[in-house]
Amino acid sequence: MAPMQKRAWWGLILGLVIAAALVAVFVIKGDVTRFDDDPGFRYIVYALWIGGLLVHIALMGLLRKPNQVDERDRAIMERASKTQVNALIIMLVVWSIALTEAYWSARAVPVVYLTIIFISSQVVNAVAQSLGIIIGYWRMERGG
Amino acid sequence: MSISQKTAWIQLIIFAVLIVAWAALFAIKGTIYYWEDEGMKNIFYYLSAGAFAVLVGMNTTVTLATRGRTNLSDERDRTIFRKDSLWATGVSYTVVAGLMLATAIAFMSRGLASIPVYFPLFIVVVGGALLLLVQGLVAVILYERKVHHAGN
Repeated sequence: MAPMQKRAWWGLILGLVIAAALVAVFVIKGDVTRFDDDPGFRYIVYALWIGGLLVHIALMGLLRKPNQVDERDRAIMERASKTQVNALIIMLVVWSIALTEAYWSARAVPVVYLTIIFISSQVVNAVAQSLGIIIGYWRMERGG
Repeated sequence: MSISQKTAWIQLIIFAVLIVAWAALFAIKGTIYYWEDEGMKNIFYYLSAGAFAVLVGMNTTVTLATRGRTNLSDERDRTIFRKDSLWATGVSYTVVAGLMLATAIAFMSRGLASIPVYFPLFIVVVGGALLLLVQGLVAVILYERKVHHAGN
């Protein structure tokens, strides 16, 4: 397994764990609007978000040695950016439709959702990058 | 001028016109809260839907007109497409994220716990239009640069 591929697998696992942990925190707390009033809730979310982001950056960028990346890896990373773009667009569209439908009768959406959308966009971006790289290697190994 | 270059120009014109029309609408009405006025809401939606429909129409026409033809794009077109997509995503994502955070800060600082239900959709539509505008703009710039280099 190529070093980049290995890191992408670790990135994917990390991203999914962070996403699951964030969802679990929001489910356990029960009400998203408590995010504004409960500092403990906020600090847990911030710790997961920033911690996850730093580990992802270290995994995909800083720990990469220049001689570990060849032309093939670069091509796969470029293609992975397409997966990232599509995932981000789909995520934003899903969020906007879901919020509009869920809060249509109230005519107002809790402002905390803007922060949640921002955090989720970064988690989705990290997961999609890893997934795009894994798919790229998988396609290449199948002769694509 | 290749087909990709022509479509980049058309895409740029469509979304530049849309953004200028939005800006004019907001300036005339004195607000960006388009949902507060039924007439303004309809104009905003018609403008947005019209621009995206013209883009879909153009891409469908190009696909049908070039069906069966090969070698329509070369390595240069593919490189430009990769670069303009990256620029477009970076710029539009930054603007969308910035708009979301600025909106959150603006509302929270006024002691408001909620935003109008139209806001998330509004931000996404603006982000989408900006993505396509920047993609067209960067493609046009890169094609012009390549043409100049080729000319030299």
